[in-house]
Amino acid sequence: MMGRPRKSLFLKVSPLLALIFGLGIGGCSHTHYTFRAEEPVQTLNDQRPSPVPQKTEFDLVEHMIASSVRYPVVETMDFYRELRSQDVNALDHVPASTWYTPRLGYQDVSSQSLVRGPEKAGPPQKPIKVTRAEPGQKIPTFMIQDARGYEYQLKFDPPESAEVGTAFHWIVNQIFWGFGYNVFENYLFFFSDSDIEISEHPDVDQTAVNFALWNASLTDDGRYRSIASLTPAGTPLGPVPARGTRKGDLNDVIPHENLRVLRALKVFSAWVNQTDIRTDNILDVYEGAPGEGYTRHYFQNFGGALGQHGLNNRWKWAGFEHFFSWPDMAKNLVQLGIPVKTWEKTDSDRTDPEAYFRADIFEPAEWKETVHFYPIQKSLPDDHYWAAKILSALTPEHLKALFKEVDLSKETYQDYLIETLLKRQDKLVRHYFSAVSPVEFVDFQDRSVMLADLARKTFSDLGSTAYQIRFFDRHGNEIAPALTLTAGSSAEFSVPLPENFIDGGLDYLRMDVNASRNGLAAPRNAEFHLSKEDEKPLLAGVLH
Amino acid sequence: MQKVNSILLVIGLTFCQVLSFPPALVSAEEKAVSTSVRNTEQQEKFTSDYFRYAANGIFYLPRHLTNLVLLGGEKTTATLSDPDFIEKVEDILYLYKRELAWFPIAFYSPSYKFYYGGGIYYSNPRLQTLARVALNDSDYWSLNYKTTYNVYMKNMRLESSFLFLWEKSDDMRYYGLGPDPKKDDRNKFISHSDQDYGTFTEKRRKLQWSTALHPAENWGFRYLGYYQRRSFEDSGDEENLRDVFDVSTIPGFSRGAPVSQIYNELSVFIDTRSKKKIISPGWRSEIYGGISSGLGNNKTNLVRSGLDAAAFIPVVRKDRIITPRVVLDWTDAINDQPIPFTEYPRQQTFRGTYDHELIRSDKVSVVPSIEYQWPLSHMLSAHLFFDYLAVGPSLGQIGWEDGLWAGGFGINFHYFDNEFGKIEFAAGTEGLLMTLSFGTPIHKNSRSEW
Repeated sequence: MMGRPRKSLFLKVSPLLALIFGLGIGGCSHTHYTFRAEEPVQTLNDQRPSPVPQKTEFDLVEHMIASSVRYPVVETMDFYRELRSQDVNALDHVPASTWYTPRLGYQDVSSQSLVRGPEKAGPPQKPIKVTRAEPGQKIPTFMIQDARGYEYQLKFDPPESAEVGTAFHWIVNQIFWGFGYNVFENYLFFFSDSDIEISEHPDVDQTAVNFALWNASLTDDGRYRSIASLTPAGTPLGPVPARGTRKGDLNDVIPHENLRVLRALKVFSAWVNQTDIRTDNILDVYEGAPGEGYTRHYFQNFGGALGQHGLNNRWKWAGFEHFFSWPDMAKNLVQLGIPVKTWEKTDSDRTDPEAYFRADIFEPAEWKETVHFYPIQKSLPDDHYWAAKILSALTPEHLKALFKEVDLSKETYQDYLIETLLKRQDKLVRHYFSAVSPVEFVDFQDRSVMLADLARKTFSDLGSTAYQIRFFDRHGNEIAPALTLTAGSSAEFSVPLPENFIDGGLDYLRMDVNASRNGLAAPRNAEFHLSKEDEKPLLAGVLH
Repeated sequence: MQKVNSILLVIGLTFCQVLSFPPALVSAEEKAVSTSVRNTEQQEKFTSDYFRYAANGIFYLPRHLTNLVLLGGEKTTATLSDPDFIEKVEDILYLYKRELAWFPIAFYSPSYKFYYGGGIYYSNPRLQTLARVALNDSDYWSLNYKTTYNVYMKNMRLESSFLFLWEKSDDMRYYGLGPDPKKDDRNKFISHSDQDYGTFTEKRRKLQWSTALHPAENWGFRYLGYYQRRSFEDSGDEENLRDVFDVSTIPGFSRGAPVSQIYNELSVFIDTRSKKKIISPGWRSEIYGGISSGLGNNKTNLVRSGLDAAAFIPVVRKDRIITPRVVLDWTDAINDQPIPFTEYPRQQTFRGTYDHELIRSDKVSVVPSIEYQWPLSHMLSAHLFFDYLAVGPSLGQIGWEDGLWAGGFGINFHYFDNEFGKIEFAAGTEGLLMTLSFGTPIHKNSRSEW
């Protein structure tokens, strides 16, 4: 009797092979975005009245396990492709929202305005009264009320970082304001014993206040040095969820991992080495009367930036490695620890703050936050490019003005920090500009379109540059011969538009531009989508 | 037909995915917002998206189950590490201030037995005292009391401790004397038994006292003394000692008769490592010598000595460390009485067998080993090891060719500078072995547990 024929191995695995084949080959076929000929959105409509949303709480252990263990494991079984950011307008910019206000890169931000930052109420007015102090905090802090009744949180330098803890906190706070984020009004605040009243109140733990003052760093004239953060008006809702949206918030529609403002932290945080990016460092505040208000998102706690997070924990790997990472662990296991990592090769003293904030061994693509921050994990080159454009708008004068305000006693350290920031900025901008075709629309000319190469505008040492330009209709059909233009002395260049778009009946044109440097094509094209209004060309959309 | 079924399954799951995620990658609301923000008529699409939906459909259940399981672990860990929870637990456990506490014991041993019990612990900066009882469901119980007192004088530390132990263990295994017990004339196996070992029950009572003087951080002297009384019984297993061996050839074995002794030892130790609780560069050595005097029907007087030396050599970087180590123990009678079989050196550093097995017994025992440890992440490191175990009636007669070996791999868990556990897989002459230990000292070699 003949048995049932055995299924061949090929037949057994054929569905899987088909799937893998489909994932690979299918990616080749691509339907592009098409844009409506409308004014680009400049402001997100996310200030509609909403009921007070659900509050969130932060648990460090839960956050670490979820970010480092659960999400990466579960995502090995998630095959969706990474999405472009959803909070981006037609011109590939981020509109103003409760998350973001266009500043650096979009408007002229003077050094003075960067120093002022979000200032409205100004620093605390003396005398001050302690209103809340909780025991058992690693970095001493307590709440005060100033002479006008404004509530501030006073923070002091961590014991390992006298002077610089508060200074860096303030500097990076102002820089993030410049990048466009909402930050607290922060002020370096100096006071003496006679300026402070410690009330006998159940919320005030006298030991905590004494502990804070005992450990506070002092100025030469014996005053306490602190940073005062004005509590924003409204109802604190707790840390922003790193994934998904806040429950009950009608304005919070786009999952946070798909927000460019959060994805861009990969670049901004790498620059200042703010490795301690955690959701509890982004506070949501409900502003307005219940049912009539909306949520605003504040970025806070920058005291770990410029290497302080690594220094305070003696983590020389901060910025180079995650606290826990499956792929890194697997790699280390297989390699038996034989390859020596770049950060390990540095022989600097573990107590030297400069060891934790360096430019020489900094590689933008390799920078890592300590605990995986989900939006960063989802970020794409166009998000990085957007951030790099903003970062490139920050000048040495901005930095000098900020450092002048804090007036660090170690001048050489101050010079080192500025120099390191500028070098890291250079590396970051170069890297992220090279990951796309950094070409921007300038204007329409008679029968052509003027574009600008931001990389060439920023750097003069890029070598030979050529632009490969292809033209498509809205369905993706190539409608004119490709052009290759060689860059001249100017960063701007003019691209003649195809006849059938200027004079013919074609009403939509997609122009793909690839900027190649020294014969090497850019990994991504810049796409310019042109439409027509009253027979005149109109820029409908841009993608990088 | 099965192929068609598979294809239909993929198509069905794809369809379900498409139905359950109409715009596929984003919610309708998110798509509406992003479309209006970007002014798009059409979002970008890839043909591969359909295959991705299919793949996601196939992995829908495993993905969500994995998520649920990990979420459960995450919530449990978060609850257990919550300071409020810890405080509540501490409130339950502490009996007086934060100094006197009781604690439960529950652990699953590498020998597949569940142990439980409880104890009381007292601690202040100078004095630590612990009393505990532990047992498993069939063959083990112990009562243990230990107190340690520290006196600090400038840079010196004087550590005195006292221990009382009373335990009964049913699962002890004796393999006989010599490098290859089956061939050694000193053993007489019963001919009809094909067992390599015989099991026995051991009852042990011990009073131990020790004083260690640390003139400096890195070195010191220790005096150790104890009174110990052992008695043996048949284990009740089919392969108990008298079913495997002619017990008259087992030195010191006499049913029910206790073997009592007083032991006094002096040792000197040095450890140049800056971090003692994890592997770090430096070297460590201990040399000891002691005399055991038999009491009662145990007329044997013994001398013991040995050394345990290890170099922790950094290679490549200071956290990649090769550790060559040798543990040498020697014992001999100083009268004409035979050495009781339980008094031969035991090899706790040999990782190819469980420590309740007297796998090789003879006057001289050597365990050379080499280990390489390297970091995996900031709380984990891995190690590869190779251990060799050889014994012999004298240093010149060690049966190197009959030695046992074990090689393996392990992962160590540490929290900052403290190793708190490890999982280890070993393979060698004694087969495969997996051990999981938490809170135990690293590479213990405690003669006080012989």
